[in-house]
Parts: sequence; structure tokens; C-alpha cells
Amino acid sequence: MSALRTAPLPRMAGDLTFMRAKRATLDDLRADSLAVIGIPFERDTIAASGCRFGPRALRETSVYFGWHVNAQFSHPVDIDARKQISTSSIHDRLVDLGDVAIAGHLPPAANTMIQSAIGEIHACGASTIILGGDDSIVAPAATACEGSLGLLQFGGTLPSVDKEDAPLGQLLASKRLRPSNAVVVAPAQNPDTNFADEFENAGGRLLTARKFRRLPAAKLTGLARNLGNSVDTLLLHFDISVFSAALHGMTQTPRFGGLTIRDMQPALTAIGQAPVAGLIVTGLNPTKNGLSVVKTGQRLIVTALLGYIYGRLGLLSSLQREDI
Amino acid sequence: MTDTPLSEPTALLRSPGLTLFDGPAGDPATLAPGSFGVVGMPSDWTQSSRLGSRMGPRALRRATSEWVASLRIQNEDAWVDPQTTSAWRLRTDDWLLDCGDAHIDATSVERTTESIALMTEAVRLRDAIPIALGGDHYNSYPACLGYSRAFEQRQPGKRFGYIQIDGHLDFADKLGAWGTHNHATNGRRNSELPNIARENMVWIGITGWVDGGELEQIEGMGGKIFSSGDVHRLGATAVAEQALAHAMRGCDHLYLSIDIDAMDAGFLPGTGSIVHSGITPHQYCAILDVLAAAPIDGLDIAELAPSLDPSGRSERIAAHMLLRVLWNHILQPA
Repeated sequence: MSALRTAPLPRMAGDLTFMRAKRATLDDLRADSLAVIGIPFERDTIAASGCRFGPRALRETSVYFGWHVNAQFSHPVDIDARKQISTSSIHDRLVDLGDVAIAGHLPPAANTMIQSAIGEIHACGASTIILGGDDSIVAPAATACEGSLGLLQFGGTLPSVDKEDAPLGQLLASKRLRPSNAVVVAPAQNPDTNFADEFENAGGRLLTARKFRRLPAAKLTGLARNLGNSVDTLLLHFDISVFSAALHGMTQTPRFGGLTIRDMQPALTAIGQAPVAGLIVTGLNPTKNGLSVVKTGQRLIVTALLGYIYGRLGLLSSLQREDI
Repeated sequence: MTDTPLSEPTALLRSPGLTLFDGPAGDPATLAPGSFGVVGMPSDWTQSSRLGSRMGPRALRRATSEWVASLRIQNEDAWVDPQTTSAWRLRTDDWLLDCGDAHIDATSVERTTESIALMTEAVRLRDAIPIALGGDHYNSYPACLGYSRAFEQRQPGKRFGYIQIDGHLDFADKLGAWGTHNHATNGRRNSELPNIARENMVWIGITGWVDGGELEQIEGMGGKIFSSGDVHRLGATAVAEQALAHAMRGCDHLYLSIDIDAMDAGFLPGTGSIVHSGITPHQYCAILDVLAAAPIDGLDIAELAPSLDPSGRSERIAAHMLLRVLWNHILQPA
């Protein structure tokens, strides 16, 4: 046991890394590493200014779940599934690379920096958890990945008329992503009819929150696995707008009827078992009060990410989605 | 013993919100047998997360008094329950006495513990029922400690049942830098009281991932845990009935500890340690409705942090929780 694991720290103390993961550099990465990297960047500095504070807010909230460094509480059990989960490999494999030093930069220089950083991580064979930032980071991050691309998008925006005003539209328009390799779950708004027809006719899948809830865990894992096996790189875009705004209120546009944590955590646990190369979190604006002053949005995201991390590291196969 | 000066102004000039349910204030020595004695525990120095529950007692007094005032304004004589169409009126006898706040010493958890325990013990020794207002949930331990001491004097050799409604087990032996006495250990410390029926201890509303060791210990000693998932699956009333049956095995008395953070943060954000997928207000009320008929003679409610919810919603929900569990005492048939 390393010195770090013997010292449960008060939450506000210590080096701020995601879930108290070890701080690392590119040289430390291995093929089985799960590397956290922050991209504190936002394109929209008028209406929704504040997403650039997302990485720090997510790290601050994630410290609550830094069990793997706490010798007194290192083996959590899911209270409903009654499954004990070993945290040892989290300590070995989850690392925090810090943030891309992007402050003050604008596109296209910012996009180049994102592409470069993500490209270098993937070149090491590691998979990433990218903490945004608004959704303008998705296209450059995806562009950095090699070969054919698959995209699972939870929440987030959809392209409208010009088809390049959302990351999905940009990736489709640039031919970086084929519609048949894209699945969109519970988007933040109803799709433009023309886009929806064109997208679905070309093999893309649009799942409303209601449709998605009906998917059993095995089918969801199969869908992610098949998609992952049919492309060179599978990315997961997780925007906070996938959650009902009634649970957090921390996005620019309130959206009701979205998913809950009881939908998202098991889903990400299942998807985490597919060969996902990177997960991109976007849309959290911690400068908004959310529900009163409590930042419920970032807690929702990190709680859902727990499922993904445990699934990705092979520590958990199911959170009994079928029973929920 | 009391830290807050509680005078007896005239009814006309009385400031609403000074006491719980706008009831009379006084010394525990004047409590009538069978009545409720309110003990404030304005301390959050044992909370490791977001602070603010030290203002909980004041907020509970304010919110319950607002409710009483609204009833008085709208209904001079009787009030009709729209669900049952029964007519009710507020009790006018001294069913409750607000004994003020225990002395809190921010530098000494030991002195704070003794101060609170002295007050709940004094209340219970008058054959009254302590209602202890947190404060963070650690304060449940001193409240239950005083109850336990009085219980031993009043019913030597007997044991009492225990139900904790909570988003978290609070069963750690110690929590990092906070040691053995804090808001993550109160359930454990309560389980060590000599006259608690450990095998009867029940938790309702636990959410998410918990420590495996704590879970094993609770179930090993015979305790029972109903998660928020159980409440969603089985129904709140069924869970409360099963919990009560387990807690009361061989016991005639029940101590109830209410941590408001068992409620989903989407409804109640004004608390230090939020949970998602927690129980809903409707479910919480259904649970309390069942427990309202139980032989509760010790009660605490904890973790209301009003500064975390400037909308006032959280304190009103917490006040409503007290209303539901005390329904039969606050009101009488008209």
C-alpha cells in the first residue's frame, strides 16, 4: 500500500485530482490506463459562459468518491445489487493528466491544441475521460482519433438547418463520422425533422429517453460492443443535458423529461464494458446555481461516471438495469 | 443549560419562529408528562461536507411556525383534511415545550455531546418525548445517548428499538481526519449504547454505494437495511411496515432518527450530503405516516442546511416531515 492510500484526507485538502487518482504525465501512460484530462474551454462566451470551470468542479465533486485511496473505505458495495467492488485497480489504472493549457486560446488554435493532446494520449493506447468544457471540444477531440469513428451521444444538441452547429453535424459534414456509426440518446431538444429523416435513413439511431429506458442492459452492452467492434475508435459524448433539468438546473436551457441517475449509471456501466476509447463530458456550467446553491449537476455527472469507470476497468458487470 | 434566551412575551407580541410549531418555551423541568420537549442542536462542527446545518434548528422553528400561523390565519376554528374530509384543530394544551438550544462548544465534541445528552435525558426523565433538532447528523448520537440514559433509569433492564431514515449508513467507526465522533459515525455510536436492541436496528433510504465492512457488520448483528431502491420497488408503506416490525421485536419503545438527506436532491438540495435516486417527498411522507402510529418516545431530525437552499423549500419540506410524524399530537379532531 502506497503512502497515499494510508491517509484519508478531508475533502478540501490535498492535491485536486479526479477521484484522488494519481497525477501522471504522458510518459506514465500504459495501454490499460484510464486517463482523465480536463479541457477548460468554451466557445460560447455570451449566453452560457461558465463551462470552462467544468473540469475543476467535476474534480472537486469527484473527491467524495476517492474511496480507493481511503484505507477505511476501500471496498464499496452497491446497496441494491449487494455487490462488493474491489478498488485496487482504480488506484493502479486511473490517472489524472491535468488540463490542456488552453486558457486564452480561440479556435482554430484551441482546436489544434485539443487534437494534439488527445491524439498523444490515444497514441499511448490509453483510453480517456475528457472533462469539458462546452460541446465545442467534441469535434476536435474526435478528429484526433485515428481510423473510422463511432459515436454514442447522450444528451447534447443536434444539428439543425446548416448541420454544422452541433458536434454531431460537424463530424457528419466533414465525413469524419458515418451516420450508421452514430447513436444519439435523449438529445436536449426535439430533432429537426429533415435531419432526423436523413440521419435515420442513413443508418443513424435516435433514441428518445423513453425508448432508451426500454433497452435491457444486455442489448445496450451489445449495441455498444457491436459499434465498438465495427469502428477503429468508439467515443462516448456525455452532455449534462441528458439529465432532466428538474434534477440539477445547471444548463443554459432547462430540459424536462430527460434521464435520471437510475437510468444513466447502469447504462454507463454496461457501455463501459465495450471498447470505448474516450468519454467526453460536456455542458456543466458550475457558475449557475442549479437547485438553490447546491451543485447537484456535477454530482449527477460524477455519480454516473462511477459506473462507467468501474465498468471500463472490469470491476463491475452490472448494476441490475433490468430491475430498475 | 440553554444558550438561547427564551422569554415569555405576550401572545400578541410574540415573534413567530422562535419556537417549534410556535409552541411555548420553557425549562425542561416544567414539562408535562406525555408532552414533547424540543432540544435544539445547532452544531455542524462534526460535518465533513457542506456546512450550514448549524442553522437547522432555527429554520425548523421558523418553518413549523409559519405553518401554524398559516393555519391560524386561514382557519379560525377547524381545518379539514382534504384527503379524509375529517375536521381537525390545533391542540391548545401544552403538548409541546421548546426547551431552547443545547450549549454548543465548537472546540469540544465531548462537551457538546454531554450538553445535548443532558437535555434529552432531562426531557425523557419528565416522561416527556425529546424532539432533537439538528445540526448535522452526528448530533443524533448525543440526543440518543441522553434518551438511553433516561431509558435505563425509567425502564432498567429493558431495551429500545431504533429506526434511522437516511441516505447514508453513518456506521463508520471513524472517518479520516474527523475521528470517531462525526456525521459518518452516529449510527455506529448509537449501536454501542447499552440498552439499544442492536439486532432491531433498521435503516431506511440508503442510496448508492456504501462501505462493504459497515454493511456486513449491520447485517451480521441482525440489523436491517432498506435502500431507496427497496422503497421504489416495494413501496414506501410496505417498507415502513416491515421496518417497524423488525425494530419493535421484543421492544415497546422506539427511537427514530430522521436524516432529511435520504430525500432525492432534486427535491431537497438544502442538506450537506446530497444523494440522487433517493426517496421522494411522497414516499418520505408515506414512511412517516406509518411511523407516526409507532410508540416513538425519542426523535431527532438532522442535516437541514437552510443556507444551501435560499428558496426555503428544503426547510418547508423538513418541517412537513415533522408534521407528518407528529400529526396525531399537533392536531385533534374538531
